Amino acid sequence: MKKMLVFSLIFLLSFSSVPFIKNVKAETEYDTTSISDSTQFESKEYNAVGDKLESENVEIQRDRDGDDSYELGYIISHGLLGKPVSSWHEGSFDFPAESLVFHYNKHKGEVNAKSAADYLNKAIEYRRTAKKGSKVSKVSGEVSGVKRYKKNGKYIDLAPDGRIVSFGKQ
Amino acid sequence: MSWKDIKIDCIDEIEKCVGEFQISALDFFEDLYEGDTIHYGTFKVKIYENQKSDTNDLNFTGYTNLKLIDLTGGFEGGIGFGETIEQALEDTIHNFIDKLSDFKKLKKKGLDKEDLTLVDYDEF
Repeated sequence: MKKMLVFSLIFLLSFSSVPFIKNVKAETEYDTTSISDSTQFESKEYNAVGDKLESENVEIQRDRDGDDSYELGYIISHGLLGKPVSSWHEGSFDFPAESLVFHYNKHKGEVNAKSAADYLNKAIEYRRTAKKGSKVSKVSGEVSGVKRYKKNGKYIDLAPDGRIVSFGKQ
Repeated sequence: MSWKDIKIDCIDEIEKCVGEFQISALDFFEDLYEGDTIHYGTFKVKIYENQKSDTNDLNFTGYTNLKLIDLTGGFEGGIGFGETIEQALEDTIHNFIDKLSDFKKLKKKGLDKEDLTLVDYDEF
């Protein structure tokens, strides 16, 4: 009787466990291979954004009035995430990116900029080269102490701390 | 004391040149130019580190010594940014390659020697 019980218990265990494990494995394999291309693409896109945010060390913070979130959203929506936006002065705007986009829309045709980030790149490079052989004048406006450097038909306005206020054609 | 802590009243900023790289792209430049002469097949990139060290700012900036000349007589090279030297170098090279390709598309033919200039060693 005892032998019968042990035998039936072993039989039940072997009967129930082995196929079950195989089924799980098969389902897992099926699930992995059945992911559609679009899902994979979305997953890659999602990961790329996640990696980007992680690599840029971006922390999404929510302030009581939501200002930081708004600024971050503004930066992302204008393709300026991971760009040196802090090189631009906020001027009369709430934050630097807003001023940058305003000046980009105003001067993009003059300097042949194809995006706000491209406009920023051009301004930063011009800031470096314009300091040699350029003519300087004072500029009055929202930011005090701004100086205009002119060279080769273009100008750049710099605040006393070196941040860019405006960049365009003379 | 670190060089990043140096503050002098009459000095706007101090940057440290932390790297200089020689970049070769003969096949790319061969396709870029009009005719069969490769006017410039290599260029240099210098990476500078600025004094900011406390934020998420991109502390490294790269510049190329080879520049495109625009219609106004000004010139414009590659520029890139990063949190590390390597990131800034990669970004600079990508930016310059894109800029050259865009210029060729805009011009609708290959570049000539007059479209590019090598700036002096102390100007990039």
